[in-house]
Amino acid sequence: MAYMITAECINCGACELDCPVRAIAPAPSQFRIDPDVCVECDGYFDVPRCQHVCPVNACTPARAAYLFKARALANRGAPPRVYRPARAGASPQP
Amino acid sequence: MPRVVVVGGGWAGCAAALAARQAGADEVVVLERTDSLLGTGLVGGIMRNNGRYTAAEEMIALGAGQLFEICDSTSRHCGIDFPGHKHAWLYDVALIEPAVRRRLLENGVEIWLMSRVTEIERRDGAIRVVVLENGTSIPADVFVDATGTVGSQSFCTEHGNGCVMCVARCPTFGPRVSLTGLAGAPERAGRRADGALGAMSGSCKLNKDTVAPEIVRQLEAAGLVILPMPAHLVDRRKLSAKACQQYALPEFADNVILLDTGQIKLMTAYMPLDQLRQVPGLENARYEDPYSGTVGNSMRYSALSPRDDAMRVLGPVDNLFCGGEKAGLLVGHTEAIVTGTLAGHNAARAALGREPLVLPDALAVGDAIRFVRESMETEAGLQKKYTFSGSVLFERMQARGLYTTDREAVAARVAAAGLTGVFAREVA
Repeated sequence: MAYMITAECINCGACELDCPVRAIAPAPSQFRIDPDVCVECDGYFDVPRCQHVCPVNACTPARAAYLFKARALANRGAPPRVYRPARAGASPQP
Repeated sequence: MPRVVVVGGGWAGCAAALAARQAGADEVVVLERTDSLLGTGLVGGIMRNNGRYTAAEEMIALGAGQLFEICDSTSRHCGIDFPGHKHAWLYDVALIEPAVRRRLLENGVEIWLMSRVTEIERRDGAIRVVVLENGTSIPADVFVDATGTVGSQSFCTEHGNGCVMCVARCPTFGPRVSLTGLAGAPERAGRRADGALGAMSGSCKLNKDTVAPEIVRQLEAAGLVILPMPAHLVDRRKLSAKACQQYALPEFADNVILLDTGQIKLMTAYMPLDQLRQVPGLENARYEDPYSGTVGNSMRYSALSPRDDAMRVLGPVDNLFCGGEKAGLLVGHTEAIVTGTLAGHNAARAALGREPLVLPDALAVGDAIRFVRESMETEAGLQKKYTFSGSVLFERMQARGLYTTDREAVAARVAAAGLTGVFAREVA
């Protein structure tokens, strides 16, 4: 298990500076934790450092965050709503 | 079967889709991230003010009049004047989206909503497929990037006053993803006069039920109400932050200017609610858009596509066109319809294996497309915004004698260029 950073990330960079194993780096629109490097601060801190320093609670255990996100953002990644013009031989079905 | 996929369903994307169909693309699909078309057009409303009148008439003469027709027919007010602006038409922001949606379907455009493109497949110097967030792959011969330049939340936080819950609704539908960016073309960002990145949207909307009935009555009769700003609340500094330089006039700081677009358009980027409520008549006012109009507005111009005058995106792929805000620091619906139409038309031409069309600079629209592209290549140019309705571009239109409200003169100008109805015809 690893931690992850949710879309609430405000790009402040606090987690990157404090991560004891340097698992955190900037990604295109927010910071990202490399799950292969993250050790959840095991042996370093009682509370994972990123979660401790994050000002917006964006650093959370990967699985819980994923489930939360899937619930909260039900519209994202759902099948699109398609309106087809009324004519024969339009586009193939998705 | 030439197939064009337009990514982004704002004014530019809708215009591109219509133009691509009219030029002869058999299949045209619009992919829109949110649950409705028109993007910021859902909260806009101002058409035909100043040079936009000329641009709209040129587009009608060029054969791309359908969207202007819809705007005209849903207008609540025609030909109103307000500070710095003449003959503005105000469309009803509640009626416009369903009307545009119907028109696209009637023209054989397929509309996919809640379809956010997050990946592409690129091969042999062309985009082959765009992939939606849910994994659906959508192939096409040619693509149009009409994804705009608004947001994301992190951009609004970093360069603006945070996510203000604007109509872009990034938290719900996911932030804008640039097709140009996915294709690997280098993007540029617009700057403010002080060099900071981006620019802030220029107006808010107030809920009509929360404004004094007498003001609403005047507004619905005249389309416009100007309330003097209480002296202690005048703040002219805010004018420089706005995207809409055509509204960055002292009158807009010294007064509260309200326009009737169905709800009430407040012509300032934002204003703390407690200050707004000190204006007589607005004691109970509530923001309709953005919800957090107290602190700020959406940020734009974060990612402009490098392009040529045919609206082709310059970069590692050769089958990508761009329109709307992607195409330059162009502010406004009219501007988006102009650039989107040309992008869609040329996308269809490319899909049919024809040379692209470049509009001549004898037309205000052709001149604007070229002038904005050239200006954007300079640092100073990136600090300006361009619109037919004011500031540098309108001044240029007037200086070149291109501004007129004479429909016949515009039609004659387009005829002289040999382009009458060009966007309405299938490409031979």
